[in-house]
Amino acid sequence: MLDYFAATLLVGGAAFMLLAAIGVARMPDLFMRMQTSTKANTLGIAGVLMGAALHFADAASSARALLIIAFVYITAPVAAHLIARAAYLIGVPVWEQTRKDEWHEKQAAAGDQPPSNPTY
Amino acid sequence: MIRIARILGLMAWFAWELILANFRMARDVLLPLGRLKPVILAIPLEPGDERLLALFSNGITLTPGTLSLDVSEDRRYLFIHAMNPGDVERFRCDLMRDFLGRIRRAVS
Amino acid sequence: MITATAYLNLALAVAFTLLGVALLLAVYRVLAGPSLPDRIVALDLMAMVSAGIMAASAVASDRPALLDASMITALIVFVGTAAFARYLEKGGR
Repeated sequence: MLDYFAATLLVGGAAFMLLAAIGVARMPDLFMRMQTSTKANTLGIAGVLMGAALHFADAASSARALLIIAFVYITAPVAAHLIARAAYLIGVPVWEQTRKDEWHEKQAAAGDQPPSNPTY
Repeated sequence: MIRIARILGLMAWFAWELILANFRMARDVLLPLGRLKPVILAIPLEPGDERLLALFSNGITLTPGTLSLDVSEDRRYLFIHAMNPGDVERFRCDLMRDFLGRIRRAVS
Repeated sequence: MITATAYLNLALAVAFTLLGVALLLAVYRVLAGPSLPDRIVALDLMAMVSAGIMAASAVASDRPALLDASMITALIVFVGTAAFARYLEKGGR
């Protein structure tokens, strides 16, 4: 029974990683790509690792799997934040369909030099 | 004791949101891109609690359709990118009341 | 009802295929760019997918030691991404 569950988790996790990759390949701007990659990616790796932990069903591999999952969940948002911030500040273009950019407005209102983010 | 229960409650709710986020993400990725109307929003913050801010901004990145970008220099706004928020003001309101409120109740 | 072993083998085959396609899509984004942050995001994803492949290999070959490799990959990828972000903020393109 446990093995069926482990196998299903493996496939589910792999499917979410594929979803992240499809998002990264398909989305029109960096920020949307990051959204898909951080979310689907973390759940994907968590699924695969939980599947592996269930398959081995011993303390050592479960501990490892849990450790990686916890670590990924803590670091993935931080990494995404760092990259997104740096990218916006160096002027990576935002998708033209982006309706509103309050960051840009706020910086312009404060009299700072707003980063020039041309749309595609 | 109550505090631990609260934090566990927050974690359970968060795990649920996380799974929900991924299914929404699946829909956004697989359906035509024309449906998406992304925005970059400024979320007003209350000054002071760094812990709250850290939890909030990291949580935002992992939950439905949002990614935290930066905190303004005066620490009054958190800038986020939202994938498909629908009505902007309502979205902002929901985010602040639900998400921020929950975290605040859990940690304070 | 198929046996657990058969089901696991089938699942592993499917999982490896999905992960392989994911890796290819990420490679496409690394090559296509257009900006450096795009490539970094795609590289990050590639490393995570590799960590997933390692975990799946651990199951396929019944060697739990491969989980360690997966763990290390996930760890160093964060450091790499943070370093890249730092470089970007210092004005690199």
